[in-house]
Amino acid sequence: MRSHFDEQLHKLNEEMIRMGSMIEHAIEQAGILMASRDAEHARTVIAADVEVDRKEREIETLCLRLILMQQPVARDLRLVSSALKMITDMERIGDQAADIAEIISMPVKGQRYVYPELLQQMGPAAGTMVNRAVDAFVKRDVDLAHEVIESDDVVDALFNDVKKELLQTMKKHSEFGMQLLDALMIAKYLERIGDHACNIAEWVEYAVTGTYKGDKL
Amino acid sequence: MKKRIFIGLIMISLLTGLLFTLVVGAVLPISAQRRVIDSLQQEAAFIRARTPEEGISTDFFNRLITDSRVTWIAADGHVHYDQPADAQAMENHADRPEFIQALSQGRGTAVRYSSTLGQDMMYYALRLEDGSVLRLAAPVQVTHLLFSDMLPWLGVCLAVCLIGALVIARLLTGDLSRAIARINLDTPEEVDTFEELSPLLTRISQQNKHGREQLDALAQKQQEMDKLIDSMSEGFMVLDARRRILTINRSAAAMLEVDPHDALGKTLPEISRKPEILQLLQQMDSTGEASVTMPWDLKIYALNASVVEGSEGAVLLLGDVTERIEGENMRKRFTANVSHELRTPLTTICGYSEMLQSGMVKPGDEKEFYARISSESKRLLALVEDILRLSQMDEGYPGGLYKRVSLWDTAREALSSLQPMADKKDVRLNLLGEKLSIMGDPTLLSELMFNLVDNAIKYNRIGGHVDVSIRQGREGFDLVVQDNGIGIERGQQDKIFERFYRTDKSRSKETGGTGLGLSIVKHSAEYHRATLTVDSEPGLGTTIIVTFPRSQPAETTDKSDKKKKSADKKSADAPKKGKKDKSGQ
Repeated sequence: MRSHFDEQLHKLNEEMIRMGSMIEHAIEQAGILMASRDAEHARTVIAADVEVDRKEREIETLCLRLILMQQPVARDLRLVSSALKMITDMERIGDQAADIAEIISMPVKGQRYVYPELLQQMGPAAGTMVNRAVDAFVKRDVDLAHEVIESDDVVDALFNDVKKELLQTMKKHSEFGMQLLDALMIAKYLERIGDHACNIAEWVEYAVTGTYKGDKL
Repeated sequence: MKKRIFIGLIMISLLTGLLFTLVVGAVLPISAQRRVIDSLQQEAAFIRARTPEEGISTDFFNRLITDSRVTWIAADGHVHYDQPADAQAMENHADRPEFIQALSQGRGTAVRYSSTLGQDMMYYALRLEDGSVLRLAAPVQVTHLLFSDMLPWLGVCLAVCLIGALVIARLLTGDLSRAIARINLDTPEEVDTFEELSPLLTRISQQNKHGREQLDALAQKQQEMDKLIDSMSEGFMVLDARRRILTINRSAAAMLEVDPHDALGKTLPEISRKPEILQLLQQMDSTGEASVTMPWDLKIYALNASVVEGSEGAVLLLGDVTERIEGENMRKRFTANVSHELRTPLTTICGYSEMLQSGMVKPGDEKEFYARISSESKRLLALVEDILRLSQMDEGYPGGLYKRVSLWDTAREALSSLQPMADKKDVRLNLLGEKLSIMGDPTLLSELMFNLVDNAIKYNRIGGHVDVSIRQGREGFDLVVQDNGIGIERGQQDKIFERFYRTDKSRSKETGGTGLGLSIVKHSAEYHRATLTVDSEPGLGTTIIVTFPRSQPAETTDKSDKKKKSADKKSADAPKKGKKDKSGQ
């Protein structure tokens, strides 16, 4: 009985890493897309999001089955329940990466607006956050999780800067209007991805220490 | 052990007690009887000695004071007197054994139950001088009494033995267990202990030695294996049933950028979440075998995984295939470039000749058209020749000859054949330095020289100069080709040896050439194990240094007239050389 339970926990861990890898890949591709603006590539990124959704359902089923049939307690229960919360955030990250790809895949009328350097930086910045949040889960590293939570400020600051820059551009080049709004959307998506990475990090902390956002649950 | 010693001691005590009792029980009655008989005998002798002269009478007996029973029997067995029984009431005693014995031998003894007294009696009969018999009797009971007196003492003795046995057993086993506890299993001989233990100790030390030897052998084998696996250039990993890492060699750890000690016991996804790795594991779990190629930084790795037959574990091999993949890409690029380069002159030739054919050319202009067709054909020819040359070199140069070649003479020949071209551009050619010679292939060396100088003239400016100097350098023999031409941008300097690479694509027509010259130079240099150094400053000029190694290969003795005969043999050697050169790229 116990060994079956261990087996399932092991599988849960493995599946979480798989899903983590998927979203890391998705955000990485989104970053590449922002520079390349390759519509064909963008469509493959959008298609890959289906896999992330499927993986979320898979893990969800696994978690519920674990809770219902094995009645985990203490640490194991924390792991399973935080996994349930994390996959929601992971799925959102996948969605947002797909949304970015969708914006990029849209045909552009007239001159193409090149995304500002700051926006290009947001991709890797958010990507690193996701990367490290997943790392923190894999290594059960609370310190790393804290670093992720702190680094959210960097992405938020970048978002504000990008917003200002886009506003400036809008005043001077009204012809880019629609594209500038799209760029703002991308920036917002990236900023949200950072938030989701933060959430994942918080749940990692809970899984390891039992403390969520400073409260002992 | 204690129990057994205790039981043993008790058994011995009991046995001793029992034996003793038996012996005493057997010996004591006999000696008691003898004593009784002795006393009866003495008493009888005493009575006989006191017999009065006038003969025995009942009165005489009445006066006797004795504990024993006294009977006086006449020779015919009639009892005259008995004390304490009444003689008158007694039967004839002629049948009594002691009486019969006394009559015949003078004395007789018997032990028997006396019906008169109702107990076991010991009898002693003595024949008197008048033929009558005096019989004395005493009860045997005294011996039983003696024996039963001893029984309580026997019990005490046994109790003492019991306690003694307990104590001794405890002491002995205590000693033994202390002695055993003192034994150091690693060095059993060093303990001074009971000699009874020494066979055991010798056995242990033999076993120890044997075990150590086996362990050493095993450890050495393991070490050899580890070393072997660790020194593999391929990455090697062994995974258990749950896909945790059991073994990871240095190369694999380096490729995946993990600490090999950290990685042990972790699953592969825990150390790398590359989609390719996850895909590999998934594929392997479903089909038992899998392989993927994975780009990582600037490298490309090939991963092969297979489940080990008969167990749940798996083996993973990682190889660096960057070169192979890049080689493939380069060949693809080369094919595309070749097609393109061949097409350009052919299009011109086709177009011009069709124009001529259809009479679209104004009379008088034909000459120019013919000239263009001719020059494009020559270009095509040169291109095909260069390509052939290069593919020959790729296959491994079949010439395979090492001869003493004078660099100086080769350079002079190249310069003189390029002099007309230099004159056209008003470029001065100078040959400087020493008259050095090296071991090499004359054809390849002259091609190297020709292409270097050719490039130096082509990419020069009007009135420039090209200096070829041959000198002893620090590393070997240097061939330096220096010009003050247009130079090469820094970013392009390492690309100029690529096939069909041109620093300025728009000028390729103008300067002519095939775009393969420096590729041929590179090949030739590699063939001679020479290194190429490029030093260039845009606008100031370019210096290319070819450094031939000081240690020169031996001269091959083949004469040129034997060349054809030994061509087979040489071409058999040459591909090896070619491959070696390639891997050194």
